[in-house]
Amino acid sequence: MQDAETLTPAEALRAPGIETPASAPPAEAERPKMKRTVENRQLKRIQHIHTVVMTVAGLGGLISAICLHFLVQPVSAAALGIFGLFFFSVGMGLTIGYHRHFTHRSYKAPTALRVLLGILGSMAGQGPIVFWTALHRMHHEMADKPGDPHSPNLHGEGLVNKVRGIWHAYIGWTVQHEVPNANFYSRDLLADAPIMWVNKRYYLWIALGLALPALLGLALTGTAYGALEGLLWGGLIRMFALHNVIWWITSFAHVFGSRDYQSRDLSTNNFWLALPTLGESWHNNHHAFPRAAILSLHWWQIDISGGVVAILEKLGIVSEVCRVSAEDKQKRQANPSRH
Amino acid sequence: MSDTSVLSPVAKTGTVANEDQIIDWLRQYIGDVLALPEDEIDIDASFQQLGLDSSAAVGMTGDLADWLGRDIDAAAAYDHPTIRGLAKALVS
Repeated sequence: MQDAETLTPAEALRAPGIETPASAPPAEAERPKMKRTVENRQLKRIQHIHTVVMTVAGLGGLISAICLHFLVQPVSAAALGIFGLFFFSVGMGLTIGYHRHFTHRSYKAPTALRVLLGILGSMAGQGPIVFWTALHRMHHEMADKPGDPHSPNLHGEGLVNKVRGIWHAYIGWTVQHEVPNANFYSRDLLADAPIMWVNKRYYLWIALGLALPALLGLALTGTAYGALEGLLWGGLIRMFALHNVIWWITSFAHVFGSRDYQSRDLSTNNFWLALPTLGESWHNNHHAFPRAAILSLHWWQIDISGGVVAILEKLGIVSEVCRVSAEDKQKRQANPSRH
Repeated sequence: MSDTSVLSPVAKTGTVANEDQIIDWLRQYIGDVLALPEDEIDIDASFQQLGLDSSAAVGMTGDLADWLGRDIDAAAAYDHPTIRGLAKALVS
């Protein structure tokens, strides 16, 4: 064990929520130091351009589909079905893949499922696995404090500043945030060969996420127009929808709603967002118990993603599913008078 | 910004680390990240092969620049994608 006073600043600052390997050798004076963020303007620019391209493409798809709906022919049931299918599948890639498995390691899964979830999550166009997990771990570490990439609560008091904060946490942050150092935040994934195989092919998965719904549209309707509708609804609009779903969480779920459990931040639970966010809007539950695979802590708290994890567990596909014990729930219950 | 006294004695600002010292630093760094013994890290394998993605390689270059107390070109890890290659480029 080492004395806190003998730690170098970098070691003393090491993320409390992020486990360092238990086998980490005792501090040799010359252990390489790591920063939390990468100060590289070029890399930052590339990531911000990436967000803008994905957002504009998604919005462009939505506008195109609206024009087609009114000017050519009403949207087909096939297109809406394809939207639902890809919203759900890619959404699962984000919620039970990127978020609950890769970022928080809340359950164990076989390699084939991990790779599948990694590919589906990549299709969302929200960044490769390593980047997304590093950013999200940084969010948990700094939640609602300086250094949080997307807090709505750091813009000061008063209505105008609240609105500015929400705007920042909704979309402004996507072109402003610091780039997390993956070596610091996501070393477990860098050492994970199958996941790095997926990570490296990020743009291929995005292309696949556009091609598959187009092909499905073609297969269902037998027309090129059906393929176009599939591309728009199952590809671009689905991407735009899932971007917005995530932004509801980054912004609204730290402002509106209830704080039922003690956490180190201002995260909230929102029933009204539970269905479209596939259960992620139980965000206060999530911040209070970050490793929980199932965010529903009462029967009425609908968490579709957690339900899928529970089914996969019943089928014997996933294991070691982290759940919140009744005792922990009791312990971290927020004082009702504080609301 | 960074207090050079906490850095390794071999690389105080103004002290130039030689190629071997940079190689050692990179091996330690990557070994630390990937939880691998340093002697298992091939200094002629690309950073990608070792397991770093491009953003991790850029992050590592930034930390190396801090250690050396000087700027390193942002593209250095792309242009010289192995431990030996990067170390060589930095001392030449």
